[in-house]
Amino acid sequence: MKNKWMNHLKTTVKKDILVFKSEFFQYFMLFVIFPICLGVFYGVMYQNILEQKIVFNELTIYRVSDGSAKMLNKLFDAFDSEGFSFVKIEDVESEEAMEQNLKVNGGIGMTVYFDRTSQDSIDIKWINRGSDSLEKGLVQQFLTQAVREANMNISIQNQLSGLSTEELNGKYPGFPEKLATLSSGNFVRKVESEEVKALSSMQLFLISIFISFSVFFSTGMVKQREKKLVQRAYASGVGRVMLYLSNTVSNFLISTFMCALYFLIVFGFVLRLQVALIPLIAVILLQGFLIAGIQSLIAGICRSEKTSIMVSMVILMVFMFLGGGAVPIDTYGDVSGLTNFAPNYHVFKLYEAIVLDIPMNTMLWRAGVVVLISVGLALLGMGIFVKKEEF
Amino acid sequence: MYDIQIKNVTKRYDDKLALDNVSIEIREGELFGLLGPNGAGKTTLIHILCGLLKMDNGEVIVGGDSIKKNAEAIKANIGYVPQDIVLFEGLSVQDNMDYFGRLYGLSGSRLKQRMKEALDVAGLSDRKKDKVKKLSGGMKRRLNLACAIMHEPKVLVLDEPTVGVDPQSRNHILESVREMNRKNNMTIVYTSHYMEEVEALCDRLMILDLGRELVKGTKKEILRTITQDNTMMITTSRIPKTLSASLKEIEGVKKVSIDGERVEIIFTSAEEEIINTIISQGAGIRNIQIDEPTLETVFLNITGKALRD
Repeated sequence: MKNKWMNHLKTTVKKDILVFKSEFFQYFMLFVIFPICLGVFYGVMYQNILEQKIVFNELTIYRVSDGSAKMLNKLFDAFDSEGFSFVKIEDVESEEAMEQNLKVNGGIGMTVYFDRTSQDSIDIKWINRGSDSLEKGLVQQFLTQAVREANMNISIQNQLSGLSTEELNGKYPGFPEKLATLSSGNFVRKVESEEVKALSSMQLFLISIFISFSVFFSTGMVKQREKKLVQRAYASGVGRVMLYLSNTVSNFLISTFMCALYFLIVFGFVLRLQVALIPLIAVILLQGFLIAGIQSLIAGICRSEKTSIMVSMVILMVFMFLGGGAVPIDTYGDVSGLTNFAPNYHVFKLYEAIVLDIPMNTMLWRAGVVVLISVGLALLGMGIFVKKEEF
Repeated sequence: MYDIQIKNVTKRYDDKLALDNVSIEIREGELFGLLGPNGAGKTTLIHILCGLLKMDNGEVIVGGDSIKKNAEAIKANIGYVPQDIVLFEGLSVQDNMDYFGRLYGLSGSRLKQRMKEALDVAGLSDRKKDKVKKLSGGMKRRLNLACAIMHEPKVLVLDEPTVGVDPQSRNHILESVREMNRKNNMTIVYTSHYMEEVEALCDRLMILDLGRELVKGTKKEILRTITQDNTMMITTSRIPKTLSASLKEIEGVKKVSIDGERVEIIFTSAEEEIINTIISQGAGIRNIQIDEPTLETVFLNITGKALRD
């Protein structure tokens, strides 16, 4: 029995490989080149939308300051940082000089002064010449907020300045000690910003679109059913389970080969990425397993090629939209929870982990989900195939 | 003995009765024909015999084994030639034969030897490396047959193997079938709606229509079910005066009529004696034409419709 099984398996695999070989060019164009083109197209499109590099134009601020608003001077130091490198501050002596410069060069003029009557707040008088711009908006927003903070500090300082230590202790117990501690502390803490690991749009679509399209990899068993080749094989005495499972194995081998070929081209030549080989092989095998499960189900339930294409299209749509094949589904908030029902999403996350060098042990549950779904689909297809009388 | 016994087989497709209590016995080495129009139930019967369909009632016993109990062993001894061309179009002739041979457990030198023999039978030895899609319709039909005989089956079941085939390939297929039957004592079940094929090829036959067995037996037995009369038309160079009386004296001659140089004889038997009598009378035979009732006539007689309707 075991020998017979092995003999049939070898015969089927050999035949399917020969059939695949005879149709390789179409396969290669449709399921390797086409997804690469589509992935690059989507990648470039999303890159232009989501990953825009903003270039700021230089902005000159003409400043008139009587020097009394010293508290603000520190804030102007911010314009020396890289973030505000587009800002250039020029001190002018009077508002008239500022107006003259603005007329010639454009930009923003500002006069910084204390409320000259009460001396308890800072104010900025803006003079804007020329059209509004992103740069002007950013600077105005930043300084307005800074002035609000400074004015609050001045107000607190004014309230506390007339009080002795004893009075302060009476009114605000423990305050002088706390102030002394705080004053001696270093309030400036430099922290490294957390590195957010994410795929580029190009990487995302080159991987996700291919996973979705891989649903079409098949040994063509449905076509063979339609042409009565499966029936003829059955007439030789091969059992239905054997017919079905040998097709599943063939499907797995061919799908795995196609996935390996695709990622060899994509990682090696398109993205030029160096990735860990063993996890990549493991995920490719897993994807092959998933495709074999899906295609086995299709082979089990469909008796005509037309029906199988329709079923594959429905699965493709689920993969493309629910599983994030055609959209960056992770950015969709609550909806993204639905992706857990799409096995291609789990496979995608595993490839993502490989590209971003995320430890695979945190992803093992996803591999488990894919295996379970694949086995479930294959068994369901087998049940239907074995039960149906006609091929 | 590798006999086939089909006993009271009934098959329904939902409400449609495809086979109604059909019974046949086919002896080992016999060439048996199943004749009937499209939709008669021939393919259903063939599929049941080959273990491709389950019957609702009845029994099929091949070589002493019941198909219900030991389908696998029976299938291994049957070569099935389907009605359609069931081949891998993208593969070569030899790849197809290799696949079907291996399905039946052949390998190594045995596989190679059988492939060579089957290619010879199909007359495709010089095309073995060609892809099937490059072959003509007739060649594909021949390959269809070759794939079914790779494992040297004891029983060969052919389901309308000559549909849409050119006369040359058709003759080749019929000759091959006859040859395999004669040389290897292969039992052959041949279905067709071409009555002339079945008439020429088969020892015994059954006519089916609408799932029912109309008549079965040898061709002669079947023809006798409707009439035993044959008509002989003879054109002579001269007609002796005693010819009519001499012919009427022969047992089996029912009627003799003479019109100029033409003699029409209606008879049931004794063809040779009739001809010998005409020669011995010195009539000088220029032409003889014997009209026998055909299976088409039988079918028309029983069902009131033509076989290809």
